[in-house]
Amino acid sequence: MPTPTKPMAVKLLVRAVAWLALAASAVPAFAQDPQAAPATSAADATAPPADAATPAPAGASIVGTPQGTEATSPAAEPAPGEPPADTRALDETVQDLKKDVVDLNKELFVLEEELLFPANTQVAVFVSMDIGEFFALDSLTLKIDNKEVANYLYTPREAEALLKGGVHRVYLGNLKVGEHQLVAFFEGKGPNERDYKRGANLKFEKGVGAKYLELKITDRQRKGQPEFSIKDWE
Amino acid sequence: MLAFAAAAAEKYALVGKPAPDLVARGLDGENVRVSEHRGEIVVVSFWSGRCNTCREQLAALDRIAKTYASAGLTVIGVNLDDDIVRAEKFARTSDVQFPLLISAPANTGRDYAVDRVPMLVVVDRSGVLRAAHREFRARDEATYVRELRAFLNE
Repeated sequence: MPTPTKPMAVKLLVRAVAWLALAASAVPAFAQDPQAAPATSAADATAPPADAATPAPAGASIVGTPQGTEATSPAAEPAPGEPPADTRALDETVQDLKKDVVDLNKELFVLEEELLFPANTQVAVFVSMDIGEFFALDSLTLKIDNKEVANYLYTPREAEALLKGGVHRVYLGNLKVGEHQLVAFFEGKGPNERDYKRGANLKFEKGVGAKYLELKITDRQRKGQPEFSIKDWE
Repeated sequence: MLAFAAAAAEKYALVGKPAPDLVARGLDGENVRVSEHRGEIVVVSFWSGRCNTCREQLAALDRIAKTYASAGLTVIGVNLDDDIVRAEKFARTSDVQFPLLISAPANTGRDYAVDRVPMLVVVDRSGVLRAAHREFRARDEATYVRELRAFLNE
């Protein structure tokens, strides 16, 4: 993880400006002659039928495709079914540009997070789930020092991701050095599809470094019940 | 002049901005999150159990959803009532196929700047709020279709 130094921030900003300038110069290439694009394309065949009460405008298509713009550069003489070379090159440039923007965004995100949650005050709480035969997670409420800091509803897809080994960061915040208490309330469906609510709590010592806590939901096979625990990552 | 001012007030400030995330429990007990539908055109319709026009709008959206679901359209109805019982009763008598969320968080109306019902917003494939419609008249269904076709076509 890069250290948020001033030269790095300046470097990132310079790169952002450079890419924006490049993007601005690339945009007119796309904007030329929008009228030349054919009104229909092969994708029309896959479009759903128009609503009977609202007839579609003549020639309108539901799903436009990039191939629809091929006719805008007749001079390139492309092979049948392939875009012209200059369009291809431009497309690659745009893809590279997009990738750089995504990378830059990622770096800025990391930088922002390090500024907002410095390591000496940072506390992060994660949720993980193992097996999940006896418990289907629906929601989670977190309290730190008797103050509600997070309340999260899990969709079926999110719960499934947890069961597949995913770890969810449910809370990221700042706490001063000293002793604190974390209380977590888990709600969901327990054994035999019954509504199930359980709590777990942990007193922890926040030192000068970042603190990571993990809420673990596991199955206790012998009792046929889920188990909820909080693990303090030293 | 007054009419112009009124029209300006009708403008929806969130258009062009990332849609606030919204998660709530559906009538069937499953939680639904708007941001999980990134990559689809999402219509979020805010409704109340006290509003008959909402029922008409939900029915219109159901027809549209059935036609355009395969093209990537998702419709979600969000109730903003405090009275959960009334909302559930309304939802159970509404014959719609898309999820109707009952217990939306208290800040939902404020986050989406909902000032009347029915009201709907359209979120594009990249999660940006692109359009908003307040109230509903029968002819609005054609407007919705035209607009949603344009968004699906992007």
